[in-house]
Amino acid sequence: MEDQRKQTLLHLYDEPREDSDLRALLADASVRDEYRTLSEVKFKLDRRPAVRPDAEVLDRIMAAATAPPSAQRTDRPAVHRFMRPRRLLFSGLAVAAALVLAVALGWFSTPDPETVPGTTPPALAADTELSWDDATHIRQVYRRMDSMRPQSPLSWDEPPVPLESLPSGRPGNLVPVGAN
Amino acid sequence: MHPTDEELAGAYAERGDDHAFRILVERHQEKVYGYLLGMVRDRAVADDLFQETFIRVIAALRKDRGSYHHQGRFLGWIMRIARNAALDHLRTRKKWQDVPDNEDFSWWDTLPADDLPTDDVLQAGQEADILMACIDRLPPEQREVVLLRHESDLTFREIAALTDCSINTALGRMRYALLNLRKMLEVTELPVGA
Repeated sequence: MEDQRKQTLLHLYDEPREDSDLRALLADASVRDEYRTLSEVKFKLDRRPAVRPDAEVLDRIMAAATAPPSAQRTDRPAVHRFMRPRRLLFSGLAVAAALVLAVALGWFSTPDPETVPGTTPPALAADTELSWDDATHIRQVYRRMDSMRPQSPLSWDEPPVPLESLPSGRPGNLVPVGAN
Repeated sequence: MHPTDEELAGAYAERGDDHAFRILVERHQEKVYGYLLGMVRDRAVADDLFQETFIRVIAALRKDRGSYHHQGRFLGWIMRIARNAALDHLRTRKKWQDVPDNEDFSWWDTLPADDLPTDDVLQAGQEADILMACIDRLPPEQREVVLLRHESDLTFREIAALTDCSINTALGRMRYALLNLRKMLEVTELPVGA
């Protein structure tokens, strides 16, 4: 029965199968009633007014149709990213620039031996005469020390001794401790 | 004698005959636009989808001449493009509806109501509006078959191929769609036989 109703629908829309006979299908009362019902609804649907798009839409479509193909968006062919020569060139340049930068940074960050304390060669220190050695008062002090050294039995390197143990002929302005 | 769709499409694809393409667009504009408007129920959106459909047609004809020959009628080929555009739009709209940004908005409001067209629509007194409102209330599968058959003038075989179902399924959907429309029209007291 279900198939018969579908067959009548095909007749209703003018798409009948070759071996289908509408008169035979409508012999059944229920099928005939449904066919009439469907026909009425179809009649109303067919009477609906047609709708059209806005005229500007058609103009835009025709503008696109008349435009040259190059003006439209086209998808570029897929290219494997590791096979692109330009990318390879840029990668090589980037690596070379990084190497040059690293070498330059290493060169300029190495400390100068002349500026680091304790690294001066000994020979250079011995030969160098500092400017403050030439001062006049320093030379006078040295000369006085040299003149005093032969008069004293003491040596700079001996331990200190009390004045009473010193021999006579000592300087007169020196008073022994026990004299008080 | 009017040139066939295939001849017009070939004239445009091979010789760049813009006039032939205009004839094609004007010949099928009501079939394509009626389907799109019934699917999305918004004239502005239907305009956009109509334009997008024919932009795709232009690109396809320029890229692969006569590719529609392998897919049956030229109209069926265009309707497949239009249907894809409509479904893309409906999917996008559903995605946005799934994530409403308004707390007062309820997802349940997006579901089709079971009630009949409102009084405002009925009082409009226009038969076409009432019919369109009734079609809107149909389940999506039934609504699409009605639109493809009545607006786009596709055969049931073409509808089955386009919607990826059997002819029997397409016929069943159409039959139930007409029966449901009959019930709705009875409730709205619209004279069915008028």
